[in-house]
Amino acid sequence: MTMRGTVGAAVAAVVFAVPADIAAQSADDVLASVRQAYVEGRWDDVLDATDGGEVRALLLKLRAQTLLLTGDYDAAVRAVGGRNAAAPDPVVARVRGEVLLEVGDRVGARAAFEASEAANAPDAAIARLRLAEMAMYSDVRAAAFDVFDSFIDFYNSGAADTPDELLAVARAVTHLSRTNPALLQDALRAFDEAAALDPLDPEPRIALGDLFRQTYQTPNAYDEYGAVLDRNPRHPDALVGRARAQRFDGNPDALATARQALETNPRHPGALALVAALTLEAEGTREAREAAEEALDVDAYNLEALSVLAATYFLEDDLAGFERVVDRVDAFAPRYGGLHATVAELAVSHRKYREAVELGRAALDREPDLHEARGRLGMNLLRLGEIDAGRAEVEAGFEGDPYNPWFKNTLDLLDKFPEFTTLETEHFEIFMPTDEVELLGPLVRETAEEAWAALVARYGFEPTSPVRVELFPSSQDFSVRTLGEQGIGALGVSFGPTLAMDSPSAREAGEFNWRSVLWHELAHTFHLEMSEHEVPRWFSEGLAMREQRVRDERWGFKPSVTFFQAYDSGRMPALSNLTEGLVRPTFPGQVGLTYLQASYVFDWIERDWGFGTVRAFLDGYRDDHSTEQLVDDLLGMDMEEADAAFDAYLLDRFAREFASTGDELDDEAMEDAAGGDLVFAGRTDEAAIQVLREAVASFPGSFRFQLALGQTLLEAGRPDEAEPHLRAALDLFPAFAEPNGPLWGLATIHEGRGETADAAEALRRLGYLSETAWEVPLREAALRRELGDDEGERDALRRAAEVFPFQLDLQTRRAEVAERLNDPVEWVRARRAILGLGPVDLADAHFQLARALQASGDLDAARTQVLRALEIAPSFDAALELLLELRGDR
Amino acid sequence: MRRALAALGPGRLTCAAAALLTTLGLATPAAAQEIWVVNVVGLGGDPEYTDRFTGWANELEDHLTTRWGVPSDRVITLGESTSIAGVDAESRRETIEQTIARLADESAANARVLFVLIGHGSYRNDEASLNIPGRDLTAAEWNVALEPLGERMVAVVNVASSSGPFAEALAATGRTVITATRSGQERNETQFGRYFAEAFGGDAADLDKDGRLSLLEAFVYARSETARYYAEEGLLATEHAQIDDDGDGEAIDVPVQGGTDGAVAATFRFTSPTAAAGVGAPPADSTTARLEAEIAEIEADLAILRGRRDEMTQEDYDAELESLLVDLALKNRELRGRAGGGA
Repeated sequence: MTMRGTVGAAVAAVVFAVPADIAAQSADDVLASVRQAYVEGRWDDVLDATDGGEVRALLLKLRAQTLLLTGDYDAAVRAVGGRNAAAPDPVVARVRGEVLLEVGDRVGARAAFEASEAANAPDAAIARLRLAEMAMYSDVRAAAFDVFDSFIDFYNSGAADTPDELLAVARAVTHLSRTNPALLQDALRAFDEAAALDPLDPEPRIALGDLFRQTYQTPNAYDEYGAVLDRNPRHPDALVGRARAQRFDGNPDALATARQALETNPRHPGALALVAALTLEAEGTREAREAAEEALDVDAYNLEALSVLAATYFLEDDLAGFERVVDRVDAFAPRYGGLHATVAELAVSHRKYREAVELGRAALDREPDLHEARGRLGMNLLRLGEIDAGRAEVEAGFEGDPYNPWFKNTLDLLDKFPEFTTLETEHFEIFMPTDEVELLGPLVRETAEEAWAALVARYGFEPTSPVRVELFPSSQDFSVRTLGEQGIGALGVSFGPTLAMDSPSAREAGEFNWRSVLWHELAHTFHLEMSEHEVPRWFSEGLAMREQRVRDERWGFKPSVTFFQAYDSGRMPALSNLTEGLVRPTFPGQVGLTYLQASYVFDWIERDWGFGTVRAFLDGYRDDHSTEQLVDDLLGMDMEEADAAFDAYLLDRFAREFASTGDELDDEAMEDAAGGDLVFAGRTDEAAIQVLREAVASFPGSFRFQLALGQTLLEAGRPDEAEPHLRAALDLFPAFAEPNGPLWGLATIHEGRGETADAAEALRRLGYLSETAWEVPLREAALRRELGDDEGERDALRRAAEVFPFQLDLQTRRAEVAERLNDPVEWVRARRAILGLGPVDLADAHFQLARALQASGDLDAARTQVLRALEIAPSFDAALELLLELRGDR
Repeated sequence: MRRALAALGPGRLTCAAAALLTTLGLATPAAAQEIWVVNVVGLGGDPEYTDRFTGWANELEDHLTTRWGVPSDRVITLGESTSIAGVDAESRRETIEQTIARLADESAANARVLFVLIGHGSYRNDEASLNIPGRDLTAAEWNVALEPLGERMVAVVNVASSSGPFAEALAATGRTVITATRSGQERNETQFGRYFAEAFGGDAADLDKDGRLSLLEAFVYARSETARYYAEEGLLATEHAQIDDDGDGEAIDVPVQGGTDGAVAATFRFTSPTAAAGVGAPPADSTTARLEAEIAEIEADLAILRGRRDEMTQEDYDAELESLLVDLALKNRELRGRAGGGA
């Protein structure tokens, strides 16, 4: 497509509207005034304009568009002659067609467009485009695309010389881009030209925004929508565009933005369909269906709304309802794949990956060039562990949709897969970086199988195996594996039969506990399969965290001051509304706190009803029962009562912590009492200490005041004065797990006094409070070594190594102490880890492992290792002697 | 169009050099080599760096003299000032040239001379140099300055920042050049020198456990430990050590089996006094001579076996390997028993 310069005549085409109340003004002035009113959303001023003689069509368009934007659909239809008007005037026929199409009168719209075309009206080309668009999902699809193709000639002949015509060209070329993605660049130029011809017209800018969104360039899309909204902050189409871009970006404001559009037009089909989709993502099926139905009340053929409506049935397992909607679409758009593609994506948000694959295939059966759906099908296959098939689909999707960052990132990641190795165990395929296999492989095998056995025993259920566990040495790669893009705020994810997570090497030591994460994700696999992927997210997240704690009290999130304050101030959702805290957090960190809160639900249920009730919930979800029904059936109360009972449970269980961190001691009170950041900026002078002393005197039950005073005194070199405050803080909040808590301070005090055993004990207690403790057990190990407490040192080093094994010094010390203790199991593990770390002295690493294996009685393995040592260093005297010794032993 | 995501995992080091050592490091025992070492410590700029740089030089001298038996009068340390402990003379260009002249006079014609350049490097106008008192010596000037040493085996280890260009500038047949950085653009302070000195202090850098430490082993050790330092500190590595000793001036990061770089460095070896006692000394009797010959033969067979490894199953390979190694171990035990080392 060869582009040319702008067309001056087009400017003339937009200068004839004549508002009635200012008829005495010149045509230019009048037009400017009315258009300004339209652009700025002064709808009444636009509607006050009367017919303008020869510019009737243009004025009618403005009037009709205003009525459509503001939701007065009946008036819009009346403005174009009513639904049953016979033989519409060709001059206004195209505008009439647009209005009728918006309100779902496809027959009337088609007739109007055909009338425009037959009469060769000035805007007949646009009518021709609309007719083709109406046919593009029908069985005459090829003919429709021929029409789109003709718009290239239309453009090149110079006939497209109004903004509307250039928009039509751009739209036609956008459709054609399915077969030639490079045409999107031409579409962009045509949109740009349309916008340049009429800079005030919002439609080209919104269309440009949509194009940028379609090519995943949301910053540019925001700019275009923003340009419209700067002039008219209430423009519903621009707001819907912005909301869609926000949805793409995962911005939780998307729903609010869509609702803003509904303030201008409460019946806006696009806004309603988007609200429905967003609500459905958050598991609000009923609300989603209502919104979709409202959209369809305006336009019964709205494909977006029909797609979400279908999804609401599908996700409730109402396949008859789903098929009814499919039939509705098939009746007028049998080649439309978007419905199935939309339902597939919403199925993904409900963790129904296998169904998403089937839906994706159905979408492509209808519409084979739906490239995004093809690529997403590939990603879902990858999630199910079908790597080769998934890759093929993603590659094909990327070929047709080369702007798609998810596909590109995913293919880049797949290119790295040759650097990975798959280990097989009884129930797992463990896919991990080859260079981590030596060190991490045995630990992953052991943890995965242990978790499997524990969860099978607990749930009385065995998921389909093997489960694929993927570990990535880069958080970015894990994120791409999960979402197709970087920036996921998680450590692991379960797709059911496939788990993906960060390897411990992906993060700094002490950032997370990979074993705990693996346990959590595997628990999800149980929940998903038991419930046939019907379990609500809050339930599975909370229960998975509960399972972490069942395995190890240290694992999982820990209660914090933030949690108690948020709960106490009513910022945490009730039991009945926990999903909100996960999908639409209202403050930073709320998602994590919601996990924690949800996990306590299962402490409560298990305590009062037993674990069988938890299993019964999963069975109930599988049978399509709602949480409300299950709470009623299994707990014997309605949701309101359950909210109150769980609230009472939490308040009772953590009464001491609530009292020491609660509302009356919130941040503001603390700042007032303690002089705000004067103290907390690290000041340790007497004035600061005095302020804190006064705060403690006023609020002796405040954990934070006691801790702050203790820490400040300690930093000021006054440990004896600090100690009672740190002890008081510890009494007020014994489970405070952060490393800078009272136990750390007490350990420091003990160490300073030479009370090494007490210091080590304080650190041991602190280390047992947190699953990510790393520095703490290392420091404890050093103290145990000073004390000659080999067993204590070994235990501390083992805890540190469980969190982060990739440290040579740690593993070396661990091996040494295990050797001293003649603990062959620990010794072998540490020596294997050292070998896995690729030490420069490889011969010695093999030799030392051989010694440990000899001590463990595994003489064959010891022989292999000593051979590896001597292969590198044949003159290695000690290894040669060990070889002879092993032969003698065998 | 594919995006490459960097992944810098901690604790991962290359072991490629280990394979190389099995082909380069197993030369038959050489006669004890006459080795001279010249530490050239540049300006520290502030006391912390002065102490650090001199500390590395002193540590290296200590290890060389006590562990590796290099006579103390053959380890010369030039530094910022003679008032600093361990510094024999100032590291000015004229002193450097005088020291080289002295070595040309006093050392044997087949002696081996190691220069270790420690300090801050600079790279300006395509010229790299070590910052020393007075006018700096550029890499090209170093090349000229070394000429009086003639046919002696010379090795230069420049552990300074921006040292990379020394590899090309000093390249010569039979000369090993090791630099802490890959280019002149790597200007941050380096850690390589610390680990290079450390390599001489324990058994860990003797990768083939033959009681000798080659420059290649010291390089591999220091390079690996430097990489580990950056990984464990969570820092992006700002230095990438390299080696060139095939005279082409194209230094490489890690010598590989079958490559040309690293072969000379593997023969520039320091021998512990204990091992040296048996090296080059006449055999005590014919049995000892026979044992040594048999050991050499087994080592040759081992080299051949390793060359066939890819053609064999792991099981067969290990069986043959074990058989040879057991023979070796028994003869080694016998030999040490004859030397009084016990079995």
